[in-house]
Order: sequence, then C-alpha cells, then structure tokens
Amino acid sequence: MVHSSGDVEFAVPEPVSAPLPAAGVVTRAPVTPAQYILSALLPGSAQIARGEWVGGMLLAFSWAIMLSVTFLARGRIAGVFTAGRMPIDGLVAVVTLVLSLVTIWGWAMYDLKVRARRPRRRFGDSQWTIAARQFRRNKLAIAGLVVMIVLYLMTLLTPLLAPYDPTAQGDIVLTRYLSPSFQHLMGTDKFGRDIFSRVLYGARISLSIGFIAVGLGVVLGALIGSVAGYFGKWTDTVLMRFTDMMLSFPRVILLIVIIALFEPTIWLVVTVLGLTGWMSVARIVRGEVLTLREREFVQAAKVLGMSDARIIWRHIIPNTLAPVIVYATLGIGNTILVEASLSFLGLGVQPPTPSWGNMINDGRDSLITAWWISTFPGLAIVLTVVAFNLLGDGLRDALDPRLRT
Amino acid sequence: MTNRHTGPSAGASPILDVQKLRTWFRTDAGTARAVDGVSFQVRPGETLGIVGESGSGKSVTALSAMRLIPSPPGEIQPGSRIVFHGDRGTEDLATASEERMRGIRGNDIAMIFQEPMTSLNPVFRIGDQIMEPLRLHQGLSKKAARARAIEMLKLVGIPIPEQRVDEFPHQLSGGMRQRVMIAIALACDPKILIADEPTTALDVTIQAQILELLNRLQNELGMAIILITHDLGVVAETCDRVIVMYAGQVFEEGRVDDVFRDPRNPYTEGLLRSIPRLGRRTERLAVIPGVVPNPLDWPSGCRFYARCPYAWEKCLREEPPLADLGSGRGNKCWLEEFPERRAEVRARSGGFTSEGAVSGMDAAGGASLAGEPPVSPDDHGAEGDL
Amino acid sequence: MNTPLNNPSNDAPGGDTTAHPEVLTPREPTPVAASGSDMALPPARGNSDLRGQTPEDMDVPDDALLVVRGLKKYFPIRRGFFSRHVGDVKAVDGVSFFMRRGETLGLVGESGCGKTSAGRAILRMEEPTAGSVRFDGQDVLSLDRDNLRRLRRRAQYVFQDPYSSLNPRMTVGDTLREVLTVHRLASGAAVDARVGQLLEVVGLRAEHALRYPHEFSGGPRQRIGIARALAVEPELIICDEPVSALDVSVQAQVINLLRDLQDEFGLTYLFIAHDLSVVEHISDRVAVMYLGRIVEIADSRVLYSNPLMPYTQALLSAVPVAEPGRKHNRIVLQGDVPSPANPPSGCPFHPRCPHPLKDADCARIVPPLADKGGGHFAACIKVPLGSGGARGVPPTA
Repeated sequence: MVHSSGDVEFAVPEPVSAPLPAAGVVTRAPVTPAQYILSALLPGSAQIARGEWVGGMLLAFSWAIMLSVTFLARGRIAGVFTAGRMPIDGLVAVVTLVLSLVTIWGWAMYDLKVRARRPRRRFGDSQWTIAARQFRRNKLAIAGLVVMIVLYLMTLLTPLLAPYDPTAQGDIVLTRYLSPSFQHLMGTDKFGRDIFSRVLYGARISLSIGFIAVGLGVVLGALIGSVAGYFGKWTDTVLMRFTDMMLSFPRVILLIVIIALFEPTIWLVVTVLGLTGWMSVARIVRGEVLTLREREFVQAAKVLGMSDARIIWRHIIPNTLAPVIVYATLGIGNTILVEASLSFLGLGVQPPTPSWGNMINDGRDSLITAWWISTFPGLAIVLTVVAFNLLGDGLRDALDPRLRT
Repeated sequence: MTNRHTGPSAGASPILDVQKLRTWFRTDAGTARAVDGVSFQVRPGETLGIVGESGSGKSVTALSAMRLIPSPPGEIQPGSRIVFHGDRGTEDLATASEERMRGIRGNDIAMIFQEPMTSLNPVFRIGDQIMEPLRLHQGLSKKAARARAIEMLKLVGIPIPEQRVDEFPHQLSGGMRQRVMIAIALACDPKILIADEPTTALDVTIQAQILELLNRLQNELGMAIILITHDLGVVAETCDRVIVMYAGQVFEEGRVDDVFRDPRNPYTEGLLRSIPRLGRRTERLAVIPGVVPNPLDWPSGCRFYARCPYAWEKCLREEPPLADLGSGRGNKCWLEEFPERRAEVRARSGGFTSEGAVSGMDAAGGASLAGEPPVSPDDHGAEGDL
Repeated sequence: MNTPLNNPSNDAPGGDTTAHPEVLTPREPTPVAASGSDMALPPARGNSDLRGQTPEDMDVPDDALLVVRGLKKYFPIRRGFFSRHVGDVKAVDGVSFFMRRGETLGLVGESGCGKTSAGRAILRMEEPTAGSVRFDGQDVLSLDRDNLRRLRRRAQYVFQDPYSSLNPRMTVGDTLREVLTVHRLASGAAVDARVGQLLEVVGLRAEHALRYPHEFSGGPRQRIGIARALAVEPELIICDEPVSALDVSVQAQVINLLRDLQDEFGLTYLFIAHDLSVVEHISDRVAVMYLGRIVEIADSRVLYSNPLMPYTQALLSAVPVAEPGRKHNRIVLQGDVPSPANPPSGCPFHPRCPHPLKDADCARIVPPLADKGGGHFAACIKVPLGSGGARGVPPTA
C-alpha cells in the first residue's frame, strides 16, 4: 500500500447525506396497450402473458367458471325476472353473479394498472399490509381462503346452481336410493331427493349459521371482554365470574336443553349458538386489553388527556383485532361442527329443510346400501372445516404479535 | 481480570482461536449477515471484552462459539474456524459433531446470560440445576454432586448455601440468581466462561458485586473470560483486551489501556466521546450521527461510512482491512494508511462534535436487532434504510 | 416557616471532610436537641446528628414550578379469597422536593426505589396515596377531569421504552395529529404543517409522518415520543429513563436533543434515570432515592463531588468508568435492596450501610432529610450538620 503524504486529494466529506442506494423500487416491465386490450377481453390473460402465472390463472379460471354459470343457468336467470313475484334468493343469486363478473374483470384491470404505474411503496406499510404480505406466502392458507370464498359464492348462487328443488320428492319407486350419476351427481335419498342440491342448500344453512352465530359471539365477547379489561375492579370481577360460569356449562347439553324447551328453528339455533360462543372471545379480548392498558402508548394517550372512549376506540380495539379475527375464523369451523352435531341429533334444523347434519342423520340407516346419502354432506363438512382451520392458522401466523412492535 | 499486568502474556498460546467467523441468518426478507468475518483469540486466564451495540453481532459471535445458533435460520458459514485447544487437543468447533459440542458446552466452555430470571428453569430447585451438568459431564454421584453444588454456592458468595440449594429460582433476588447462574457455569471448572451482558439487567450496586465476584473467581480458578457488553465502563474496569464490534465486524482490537487511551478507529473514538462520564460534566456530548445500519443490508465499503466524520470516497468504495498495528492492536480503518486525513478533519471540524444531534437522521429507517432474525417485512427483498 | 436552623451550634463547615469515605470519620459527640419536626423522634445520642431543616420546613422559592410534598404511593397487597388487605408496597413513601422553572432535576436510584412511581404519581397517571403536588400554584391532586386535562397540556411525560410507547397501528403523523386535534391546537391544513414542524424540531423529517413506528429503530422512535410530548407545548416534561433503552451511540443524540429543546422552549425536566453519569450530565440538581424515599438531594456538582449519604457514595463508586486504570475506592455494598413491602426499621439503608459509625440508632430512627449545609440535604443521622455543600473539585484522575 502506498503510504501517501500530504498530497492526497480528499473529496469534500459529506458522510451523512451520502448517496444511498435507491432500493425498493421494484422494476417491472411496462404494461403495453395490447395487454390492456387482452385483459379487457379475457381477464387474467394479460397477467399470464406477463409471466405472472398464479394470479393470471386464478383470474382466468374464475372468469371462465362465472361465465359458464351464467350460460348454463341462463334459463333460471330469465326465470327470476319473469316470475310473477321475484324470488328473493334468486335475485340475490343474480346480483352475486353480476358482481362477481364485474369484480373479476375490474380486479384484472386494476392489478395490471397498479403494476404498471406505481412502484411498491417501501415505507408507510401498516401492520395490516405486512400481515397481508405474510399471509400471501402461506399456500395452504390461500387454499383455505379460496375454498371459503367458493363456498360462500356457492351459497349465494345456489338457486342458479342446484339442479333440483331440494325438498321436491321424486317418484318413490323410480328415483329413491339412486347411486351417483350424471343425472344426480351425488345420488338421491330415500325420498328421491337430489343429494347434490340438498348439499348446496345445506351449505347455505351451515355456513350462514356458522357466520352469524360466530359474529354474534364475537361482538358480544369483544364488548364484554373490553369493558371488563378496561374498567377492571368490580366490573371485571362480575363479568369474568359470569363468563367462567357460562364456560363451566357443557355447551352441547345446554344447547340441547334450551332447544328441547322451545321449537327448534334456524334462528333459535343461531341465537343459542351465538349466546354460548362468546366466552372465549371475551377472555381473549380481556387479556389483550389488560396488557394493552399497561402499554406505554395507552399510558401516553391518557397523559395526553384523551378520553376513555377515544383510547378504547383508537388505541385499544385496533390492537385486539388480530387475535379476534383468528378466533372467529377458527370458530366458524367449530360452530359448523356443533350445528351439524345438533342437527344430527335432530335438535337443529328440522327436516325437510336440508342441513348437513340432518342429511347425515338421514343416511344413517342405509350406510351400507346407500353410502352416498351420508358421505357427501360429511365430506362437505370436512372440506369446510379444514378450509376454515387452514385459513385461521394462516391468519394467526400472519398476524403474529412479533410483528406488532 | 485485574491481573491485567501480571496475568496472561501476549505470547501465550490461545485457548480459543476464532478465525473469519461468519454467521448468517436467512430470513424471508433476505440474508442477515449478523457476524461477517470476525477473528479473535482468547488466552488462558485473560478477560477479553467484546463491546458493541445491539446489532453489532457480539452476542451472535458468542453463541456461534458455543454453536448455539438456531439453525435454520442461522448458519455458521463454511470457512469459519473456531479452534479450541482443550484436553483432547485441537478441535474446530465450527465443524465438530453435535454430540461433541454437548460434551464441550457447560464443561469446557460455559456461558452465562443477561437475564438471570429466564435462564434458570423455574420448576427445578437451584441445587438440581447446578448438579445437572456435574452429573452429566463429570459423572458424579448424586451425593457428590450435591456437595459440589453447595461448595459452588458458597464460592459465589451465597449465604447459607446448605439451605439455598433446595430453593427455587423465584425465591432469589436478581443478583442472587446471577450468582447461581455463575455457579452453574463454573461447576464443571470450564476453561472459558462466556458472559453475555451478565450485569445489564442488574442495578449498579449489584453489578459491582457481580463484577467483583467474576474477578475473584478468575483469580481463584484461572479460566479465561469472554465478557460481552455494551458498557464501555465495564470493559475498562474488568477486561485485559477488548475487541470493538460494529455491523458484524471487528473494527478495533487491542489491550484495554491502549484502546481506551488512544482509540484509533473513528467508531471507538465516537463511542468514547459520546458517553457521559462521571465527574466529566460537559455542556454537550459529542455525537455519532445516524443509526446502526440494518444487518439485512450492510452498506458497501466501510460500514461506518455514513456516520463517520473522517470518511471520504475511498471509504464508500472500498472496505478497509483490519490493519495489524503490532502487539495485538488492530484497526479496521483507512485512516491507518492515510493518517493525515485524521489531522485534517480534526483541524477543520473537530471530528466528532456535538452537532448532528438534531440533523443526521438520514438513516432513520429500519434496523432490526441482530441475533433475532427480523420477521420478513417485505416479499421483494431487503427492507433497507432510506 | 423558614425557621432558623435548629440548634445553631457553631460547627463551622469544616474542611476536615472531603469528597470520599473520609467523610465517615467520627466526630465529637454532639448533643442532639429535638425540635420542630424532630420532636416525635426518639432521643438520639452519641454521634447521631438530627439537626438541619427538612424540605418541609423551608419556604418554596417564588419561581418554583412544581412543589411536591410528602408524596406517597402505596400499592396494596391483597391476599386470600376476600382480597384481604394484608399490607402495602410502599413504592413512594413521603417524597418532598420542588423544581424551579427551567431547571432539570435528576431523580436517580436503583430499580424498585420508586422513582418511576413518583413521576407517575405527580402527573396522576396513578393516583397518589397521600401528599400534595402543586404545579404552578395549582393543587394537582384536587383537579377535576377537565382541569386535569388542561394540566396535561402543560405537563408531559416521555416514556422509557420507545418500542412500546407508540401505537403500532398508527402512523407517526396520525399519532401527532391526534394530540393536536384532541387539544384543538391546530385545525385544517395547519395540522399537517405543525406535524411536519414537530418532526423537524426533534431532528426527523416531515415526510416521516407517513411511516409507522415499526419502520424506525429505537433512537428515532424516542424522538417521536419526544415530539408527541412537545405537541402540546408543555412547560414540564417528566422524562422516565428516556435513553436507557437506546444504543450507546444514539444516547448522546437524544440527550443533546433534550438539552437543545430545553434551551429553545424553556422546558423544565424531571429526569428519572438509573444511570448516574447521564443524570450528572443533564441535571442541575439531583435527588437520590432509596426504598421510596429521597435520601439525598443537592446541586448536581455538589452531590457528585461531595456525596454525603453512604448510599450515594456506594452508588457513585459502583459506576464503572470508561477509563482504564482510573483509581477509585469502590464500595461494594453487601446484599440486595430490601422489599418495599417490608422495609427495614429506622434508616431504610441501615442493613447494607458500610458507615463505620452505624449503630443501633440507625435501626431505630428514621433519619430526616436534613439540610446539612448549603442546601445539601441528606437523610443520614451520622452525617453531621455542616458537612454539606461543594467540596474541592470533582475527583478526576
């Protein structure tokens, strides 16, 4: 090494404002007008052409499926409008169909536009954005999410999809106990009813019961938990002892007793499931609130003179949402199982209204001779519950508290 | 520890010789090069201080020497050597079998951690926790191990050890727990004791007790100590030699007296000038501007470039070598080759000044702690600084 | 009140006592007369000295911004099924001091000494058990909700842990904006302008408002915490260990920032910390706490050059100094800090005290925080009146 003397020329030192690499601008190929046209004609095709396979295929597939539904059910769609009194579920189905088509098309274009114009923002990413990014890497959870979306779409589109009336009985001699065929995808039961149609209608019952009951439970639990946690003292004691009391009842037996006392309707089942499902949420939320209450940013909000309502709304609730979302997702699967068990016991949804639980019950006597009667609703339950559990696990990982600093 | 002047001679052969240690963590967000080419030696009976800030890689260095890096995501890169001269001759711990490492850990090389509360198992009596390594490594009978446990507790200054041996960790105060940790670590008479921030969680009066204890035990037992700390005061008072780490690299090394009296590296100089000192009240402290860079995205060239008042283009373009200044002194800085630059900058702006406290926030972005692999904030690559 | 010194025996502030343990040399036995607040004390004898005014005896200076008297914060210990009250953790047990406008008072002590509880009780983040707090003449403890809110525009708090003191779900801008709008300090476009201005005041840039806390490391986060406190334009800021969670190389930045802000806005700081060197650097006066009480309080230079309490001496001598070979006689205290739930009788420090004159009186008499001369208060009956004040020069090598 040359040990140079005083003649070394030093540049003006500007150490702090040194040119730092302009990192983070993810460069992508610009979007050509041709790609826009392609995308407008067939959503997803532009993405595939750009080499973004996964997203492109998903878009293209869902577009294709929705289009075929429209085509195949065109008669029924027309029927919805020509019927003297428009059937409400038929109308919902048509609206869903239209909205889905618009959404898929719009999303494909938006996706293209976003990729063309704006480089990803590197800073100012919220915790939710980061969680979403984390979630996207979890293939199983994505699968769970897709299955969940498909299931809910199917429940909305049921009037267009179901080949038969779920309660219409067929010819007692000719169409009972038919094994699966193209005519009856999942066979028929002892009254000659089409299992596939009944599974579709059953999905409506099961999924909406799961969704509404858990929604009720979450709202109630979050309310009770946050009040108990934030105000503490005797409020906390009273509410939490009540929660403990509720928890100490065996849920199913409680449900059976209540339902036995009244006439079982769907609404009763939902209400009872909701009213017996809030305790865990209450405990989760209370725990979170207790920790948050001691967190310094909540202390800071207090010392800055903010009101209790503002502190709860702005500083506490947003930070308790993550575990509640995870719980709710896992809870839906669980509630669907509970409803199925109740219906299986004849205490839930009453025949002839189809629910997965009472359908399994229907096939119980003829498992050997007509396995399909119980098997398909059973599989539907498994698929749904697995999907919700995968989704819930994925959300739990993505919303991991380690990210929450 | 205080045998600084009588103790280890620089010529004594090292008991631990770490060469070009690189420990990287692979995360979704990229590779964190937590330790990136660290070399140092430890001689019998000496105390080596490793000083650095969070993210400097000092703790990862120690954990690597014990092969306690969780893998994945961590990995000691090929080419790293951790040469240990023990009873069984010379071994490279970087490639030793996991079984062999279990024989070494706690027996030849022991470690104590920062948090005495979490490093003791709350469900076992402290006696059992001291006896465990003794029975495992030295095959002592239960009775002999218990006797030795009581002896160790007495050695680390715990009153009524016969009674304390049957207590649970939660029955002890923080200082007492750290003493128990030291007793566990020293039970098997290790050759090297690695102390990772042993007093950071303790109050200053308790810290004084623990440092004094370590000092006494070293004089009595003669083990080498690697003391990892961020506290320059602790290093000055307890260590014989020191290595200063920054951004996963050794920036300066040498005898404590030399390094503290005449810091050669700008980072060391900045650190020493920016800490308030007892009895040396000044109006304003000198400041190292900016923040510690992100291990996922070390700057090219000298990693201290953006915060260094002496830096010039060369520092941005080329990484300086760790220049050997003789008698164990080393400095990773271009100033060793261009000494006139130091004088020039000092004459012009005074080097590290109190300015830059308010400005100099250009590197305000990211920065995660080393050792704790950052949770992928980005799916497209490293989340760097601005 | 301002009573004359009790028992003005003409013990001239002797030059025989110097900075260090020499101060512990025995003196001629002084007869002790109890008077005023000392009346309730058991009779002392021998070399104990109970004389000297306590802060309660003294008039508060006119420019005092904050006056704290007899502040207590007890945390009840409850046991059993019926939550029976079985005792108290006396986190703060009778703390009195005042702060002048524009000064910095350092409050030091080891963990568990009650320094943080004291700071929080002053701002009523935790309701104090007893005592009085006057802020600019106003009785803080009797304020109703609205007036307390108004007080919080004038007295603010900076937290220790920059990782926990910012809401992770809000951007930096939202955090500051919320403060401004809640207190109606700005509206419309002025809010954003003020947010940018606040960020620049603490050395960040206006565009950082768009970011979330997790995108910053400790030092910048602490700056954001400071900006949030500054948003209400307070007069007093209680800084609770503001640099102890930061990296060594950024501590100085934040300390300098705090000093700059003090100069610029005329702030008064109550600076709570365990790091004696940081406190020395930033404080005009320093109070040392032990087991919920102030055991010594004096001007910073005086306290550091002439610590009177054996505890302060031990604390100072225990600080490791980054100068190899610098000789100082370390006093290593034996044992641990006793539990504040069950403090020792008499002087709370007596079980660990290395003072050569320690005797049965120490276990019996609760030492008053007495002016030992020159406004240097110490709570030790073995420190004679007249030994306070500055002695010589700071012990530098």
